[in-house]
Amino acid sequence: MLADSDLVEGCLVAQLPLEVRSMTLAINVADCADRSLHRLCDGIYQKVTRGAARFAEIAGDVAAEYGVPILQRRLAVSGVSEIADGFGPEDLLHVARTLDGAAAQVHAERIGGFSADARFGLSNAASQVIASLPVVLAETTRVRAAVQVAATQTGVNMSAVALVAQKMREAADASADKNADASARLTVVANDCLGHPHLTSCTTQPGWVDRSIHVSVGAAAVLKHALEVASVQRGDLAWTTIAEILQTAGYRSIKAAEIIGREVAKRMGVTFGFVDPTLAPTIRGGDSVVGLFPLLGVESFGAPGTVAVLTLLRDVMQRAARFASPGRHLEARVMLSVLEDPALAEATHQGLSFDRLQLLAAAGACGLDLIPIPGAVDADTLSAIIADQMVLSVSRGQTGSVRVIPIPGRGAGERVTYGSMLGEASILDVAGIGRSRPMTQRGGIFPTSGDW
Amino acid sequence: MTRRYLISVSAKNRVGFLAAFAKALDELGGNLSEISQTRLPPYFMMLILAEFAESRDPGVIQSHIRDVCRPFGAELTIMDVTADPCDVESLDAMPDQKRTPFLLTMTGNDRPGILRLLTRQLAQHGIDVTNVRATQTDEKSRFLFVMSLSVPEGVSMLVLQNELQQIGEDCALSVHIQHGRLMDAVTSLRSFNGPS
Repeated sequence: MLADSDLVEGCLVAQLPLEVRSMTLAINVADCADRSLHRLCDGIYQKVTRGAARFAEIAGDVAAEYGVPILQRRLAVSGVSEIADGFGPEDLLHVARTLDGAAAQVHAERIGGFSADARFGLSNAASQVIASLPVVLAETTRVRAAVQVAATQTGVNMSAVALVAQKMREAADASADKNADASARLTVVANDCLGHPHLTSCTTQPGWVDRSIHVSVGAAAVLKHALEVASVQRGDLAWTTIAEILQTAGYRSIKAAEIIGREVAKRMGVTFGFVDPTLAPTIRGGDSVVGLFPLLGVESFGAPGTVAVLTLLRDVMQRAARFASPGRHLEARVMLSVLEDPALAEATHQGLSFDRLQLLAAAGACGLDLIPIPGAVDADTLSAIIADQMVLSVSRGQTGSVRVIPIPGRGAGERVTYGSMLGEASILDVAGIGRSRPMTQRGGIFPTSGDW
Repeated sequence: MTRRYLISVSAKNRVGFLAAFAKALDELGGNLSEISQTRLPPYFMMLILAEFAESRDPGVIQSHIRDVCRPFGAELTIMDVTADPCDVESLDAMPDQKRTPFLLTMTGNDRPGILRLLTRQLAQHGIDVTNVRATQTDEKSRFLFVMSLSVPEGVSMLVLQNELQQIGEDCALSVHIQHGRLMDAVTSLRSFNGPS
């Protein structure tokens, strides 16, 4: 029997802009390891295309049936450095092209797994993967690469940081004609001991089942809707009430994403993995995290008060996730992805600085994401920028990532424009270019306070 | 032997009505089997399934209840349903057809014929409307409309959504359809964590 409360709830839920920001199908391809490059590539292609054959169809069916869009489909496979040990950069390019082709075949927008783990040191396999990055990223479109260089228990591998920074710079140069978009597909990661299913470049680590489905929540629009309905901007609501409103909205968005993820997993006959409650921009307009700040009283993103509101948003999503998906959620983060968030990009035109983004990363945002920086930034400065973020992440014991894009031949203040997912932003000035070389040249392990 | 009657009562909602009805039932030696009530302020309506001795004349039952409930101004009908099987074949009870619950919500300016358009579309897909609730909002001539639907297997929700959207556009209405499971999940605190 429908009651008056159902009437209200029905209309309320119908108006919620629920969405799944991304859905990742993780496939274990460790058994494809082979000394023959042909057999290796063939095995990976067959396993990925077979394993994900119905992924797009089922995800589309479920999204239509539940009326909740799945905005992006991703794949993740076992780390290439594990399955292609012994191959050189030229061979690894073939592996990357295989992944690219397999993702295209099953209509997945991205495929993660072209990754290396260099937390403790550089193995031959990790070195080869890192060496291949510039050409791999320039020659493929769907492959996302990652190198893990730090962990709370071990500290930061500064040798790996320097090497990756060098390759990030080379990747930018190799794709200079496309505003260095190749380096936008490389993430440097800290504390990704489980193979974070929602990092855009995630990999499937040992310990996972053969196939699993993971979802990330598109909560920004739901939070914005909740704030607008509650007329929070009137200014007469207590912060505790606002936190409660946001937490309820966060709960709803997380629960909806989990329901969709479980249904897709059930229909595919695979295991449901995790829900990622991270606040991040999506391809839909109006999903900007930055758009929440004016509603919460910070009229210009980056102005004093931004850190407090950012911390509030991260905390409410973390609490909502604990309640909505106990044991099945990951750590809530706030991704300030400059090139994917039009409102954040607009803030860069209005004067949001690189230093300010670094401060926000220190205050709780997840590293530095998709930030265009001047072409004059050399590998040593890149290395120092990465080192700063890695040390911050391992000190806090949280997952952290860096995706910065040095744009060759372009200077601070100039605008860069990309197609597809990446939008437009101003190149942000980096202070002290070339002044950190002695620090980054030392190599070895940068110790932190973590223990085994 | 007993006979089963379906009694429907409608009246203005006032405290004490159910007590008066129960008194009349008791005096007639009736046994209440099931009761369902719905409200449309300031009115309410009750459907009651009750059993009476076979010798009890239905006219007597009706007139006695009406007399007892007269202060409440109740309208009453009575129907002998003894011959109907208890497990009445309903759409909900059809075991060989899998059905999924959905909730349809509609908001907009009221105009004649909306319900006809909507229900015709639903009927064409074999969709059962299991419950309906509608009300006018504070704003003049705007209304909220919620329907519980039972959708048979094989209905393309994408097609249905497009059709409903079209009706919505034609009538300047906002029409949404939500999976019942999703609705439950985001509005209740029940756990849905099962093995996937």
